[in-house]
Amino acid sequence: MIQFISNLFNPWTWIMAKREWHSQKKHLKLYLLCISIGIAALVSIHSLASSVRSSIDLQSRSLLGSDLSLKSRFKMDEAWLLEIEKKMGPSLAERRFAGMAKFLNSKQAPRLVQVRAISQGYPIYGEIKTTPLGGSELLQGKHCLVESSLLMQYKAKVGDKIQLGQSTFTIAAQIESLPGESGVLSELAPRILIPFQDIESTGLISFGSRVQYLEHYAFPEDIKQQELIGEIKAQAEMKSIRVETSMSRQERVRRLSTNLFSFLNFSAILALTLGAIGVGSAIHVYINKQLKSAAILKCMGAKKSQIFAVYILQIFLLGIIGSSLGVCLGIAIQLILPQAIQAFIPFEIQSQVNASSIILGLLAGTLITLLSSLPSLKKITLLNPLQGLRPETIQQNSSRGFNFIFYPICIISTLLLTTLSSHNTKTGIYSGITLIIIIFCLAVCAKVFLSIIRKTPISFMPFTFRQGLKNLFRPNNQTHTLIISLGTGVFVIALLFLLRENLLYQVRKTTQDTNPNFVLFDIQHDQSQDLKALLKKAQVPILQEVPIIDLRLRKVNGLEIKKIIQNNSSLPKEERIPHWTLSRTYRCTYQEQILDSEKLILGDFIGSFDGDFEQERIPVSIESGMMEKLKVKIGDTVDFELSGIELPCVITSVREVEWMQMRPNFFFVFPSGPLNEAPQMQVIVSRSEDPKSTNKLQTEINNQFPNISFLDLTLVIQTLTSLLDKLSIAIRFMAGFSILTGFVILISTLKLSQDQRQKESILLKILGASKKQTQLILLSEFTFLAIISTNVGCLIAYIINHLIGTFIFENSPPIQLSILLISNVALIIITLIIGLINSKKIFSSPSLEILRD
Amino acid sequence: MKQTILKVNNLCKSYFMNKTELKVLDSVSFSLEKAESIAITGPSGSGKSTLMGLCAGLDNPDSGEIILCDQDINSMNEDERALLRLSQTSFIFQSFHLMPTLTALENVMVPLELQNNANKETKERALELLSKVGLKERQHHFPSQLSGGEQQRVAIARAFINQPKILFADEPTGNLDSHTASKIQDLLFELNQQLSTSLIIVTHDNDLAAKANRTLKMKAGQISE
Repeated sequence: MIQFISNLFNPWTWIMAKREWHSQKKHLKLYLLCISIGIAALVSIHSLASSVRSSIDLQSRSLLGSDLSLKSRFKMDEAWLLEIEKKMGPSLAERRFAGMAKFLNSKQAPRLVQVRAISQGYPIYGEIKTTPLGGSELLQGKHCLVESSLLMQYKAKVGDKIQLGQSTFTIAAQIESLPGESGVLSELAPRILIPFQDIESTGLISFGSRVQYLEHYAFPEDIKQQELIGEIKAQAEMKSIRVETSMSRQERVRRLSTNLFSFLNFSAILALTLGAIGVGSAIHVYINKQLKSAAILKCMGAKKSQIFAVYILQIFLLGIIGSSLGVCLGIAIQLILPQAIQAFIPFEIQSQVNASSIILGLLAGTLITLLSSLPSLKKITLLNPLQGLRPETIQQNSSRGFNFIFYPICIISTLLLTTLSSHNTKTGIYSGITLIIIIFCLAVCAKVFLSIIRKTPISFMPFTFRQGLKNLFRPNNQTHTLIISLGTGVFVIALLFLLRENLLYQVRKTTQDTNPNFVLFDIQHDQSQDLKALLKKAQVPILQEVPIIDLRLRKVNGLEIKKIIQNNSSLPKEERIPHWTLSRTYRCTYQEQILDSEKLILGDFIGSFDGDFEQERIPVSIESGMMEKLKVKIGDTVDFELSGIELPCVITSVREVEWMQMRPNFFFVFPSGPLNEAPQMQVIVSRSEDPKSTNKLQTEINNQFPNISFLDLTLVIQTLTSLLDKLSIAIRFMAGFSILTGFVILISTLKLSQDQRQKESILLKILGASKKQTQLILLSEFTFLAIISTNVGCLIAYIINHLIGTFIFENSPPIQLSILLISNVALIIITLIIGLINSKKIFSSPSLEILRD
Repeated sequence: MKQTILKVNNLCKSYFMNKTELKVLDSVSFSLEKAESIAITGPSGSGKSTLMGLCAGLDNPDSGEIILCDQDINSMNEDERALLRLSQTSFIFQSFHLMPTLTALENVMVPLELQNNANKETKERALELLSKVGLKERQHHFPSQLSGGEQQRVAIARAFINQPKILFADEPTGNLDSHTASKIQDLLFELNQQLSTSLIIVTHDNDLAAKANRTLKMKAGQISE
């Protein structure tokens, strides 16, 4: 070791390294790119994640808009609010509810929106960004702020009027951003902000309307915040009110960004791993070329450690330079990347250069270069001089003993890298394992493909194609590495596309054929008959009509909910009953028979009950998932509360519900009888023939019943498609790094094997091959390479997509061949272009001298 | 009656290195008859390989005439020359130059496959030639699994498969030991006689040159007999 270190600092080592470096500098540039791309991806993501975290800290208070917010599905206890007001000062009230917005200057049908009625002065921290500027200050009189996506959809502008329920508002400005909210979900439920005092005039809040009640507070300066928060939280829990503080919102946003970055980080490390494979493979070829020089040096008396020092120095410098280049590139990319992810981040990202990212990039790049070069370094160090002079006598396979050490080191390094670069050890280890599995699957799949091709009789093919295919197996080829790297890029992009299609397929399926394509809700009991008449006149069938009654759970098996919540805290996590299942408002229905979208899996469904529930428990049916969560079984008792009246029930059946069906589905279903006269609202599910009649109907319903919400499922699908497209931009950006690394490896491989190709081409030319034949051989070689890589990547993507479809959506998606076709064509074209540009020299070499080397 | 296979008249070729003209061939003339063998000898850099390359139409001369199998190759385009090489000529190299991705049998079949003439008979002919060079048993071996002598024997079989009228051999025994070299020489001349193929051999080996019908000596781009 000491001898090695002293050799490393010996001037001769540096001179030799410089000489060899100089002779190979053209090829070395490409090795540098391999590692640089991976490091650039890692540094850009890591640095951006740091910028995002510091932006969260800087903007923590404006993430919530206040210090503390209370949120409830029902009206909060006035006395309790007064008590809080005494300690915290007055609150700013906000109400959120659904409504249909009709743009008076547009002929388009009204659209379901989320209305937010906010008090003057909200947000307390941060601001509502609008165009023109002014934010909440503009909310005066009958003015409103409207989501920009809505203005675009209706081609509306500031100054236009919109009708919300029974009231008309003038658009004062378009909303650019709201404190602590990302714009991405606003497309699903576009937001319209109105002054708080105008709620009544809309008439949109009536019995059964789904309203969120919010109260926003600022902490007074002289108050013990934690104590007060603890006190309010304890009381709110009992009242099923959600408390959010700027700290808890900060934590939530932090978690959200960590999840997003975990995925992007994974893509970066994937690119880096491919870079490592590329560098390892390129160095393998480089070292093979240097075997003769090393052997000559050994013959002349150079020691093992001296030879090792010459080459490790070159590789070390290669790693440092490649990493530095990657770091610079990564910092530059960091400036572009926020645009790809800004839609998902609920605050402004302030990009900054992060020292830890630079150090991580430099360390990772250098260590990965050294690690991936180990097998080649071992070969050159243990080289027998005679073998070096006759390289054909060297055995290509590494010794098993070395592999036993090398591969575990690679696995540990990958896990270390994923753990170091992610902020959560568990996520880091999981993503490391996933990455190893993906690369392993691709490597095995590529090996199997190549082995099948090698063994398949191909004598039926023309000579040029056969020769092109056989060229993939030339000595010292990097075909396997190329397939892994190109295949990985294709895999990521194909999987992304397939998952998007899979998800859309699951949603589309719900609106096909006889399935409903719109839902009407918030129908008051007294509106039901008139609405049905309107639907009948429009010749629209009523596919499902369900009453909805809001109930709250009071007891499970005789135990009060408060007690269960208290008991929960002393139980291990896996034995606890989730808090949300105990505190939520259950929207229940009553029906005489089981619905089409449900399946009875246990017990007997009882459709009617005419007994006295003060004497006898009401038989109810529970959804299978909820049964597991509440940890109940058939025969167990559950007690609900309806406006102060206790409803003792017993579970008599268990249903499996297909939640993906766009119909109202319920955790608890009552028999017809006990709830028939209870205060309720109706939901009607229907289907119209085409978008034009849907629009017409929507307008008519809105004119006659402004409080009824109309959910157009076709619009939901359109919105979901655009949402998924937005989401995939960021991921595609990262997948691009893998593809790019693959192409750089392809270029470096072509450069490294140029001499060999040139010799083969000249030999063929001498044997009488025409230029066209030589070109065809090369073209078919590149085409086969692209085809194998694409299909290896696509095959694994198809398998994973199918598994996700089968086990998560419980619905196998149809096989989408378009991505396979597009990937094949695209990769073939790109590979051919890269291949031909890099083979120009081959066609222009006339000399016989080249064969004499 | 004698039949001329190759006729070279006043062939000149120069290269430019750092703007300095390097005259490689200076008015070279000679001819080769059917089944005749010629050895071209001379010191390194005397222009032997350049002469051979020009004769095979691998490069263009600055001036002069080359008539190969009754065709003026200077007036032919690249593809016509390729066709002529494919049908009338063959090569043997010092470093054997077999395709590393092909087996011995496949290597021998390449010239006929380039003519799109690959059929059952091609394989039989290739096996017959491999048998003649004593390598029928090694037909499925790749070049890396063969010794230098064996690789050269495969190269000889490949050279004769398209029944060429003329065979160009560039230092065919240069990379072999004397025992193997002697065997290869015998094989080369035996096939030359059997198949009436004309031979042009570029060599430093006096023993090999002595076996040829004539020896042309090259010096500073000029030829003497």
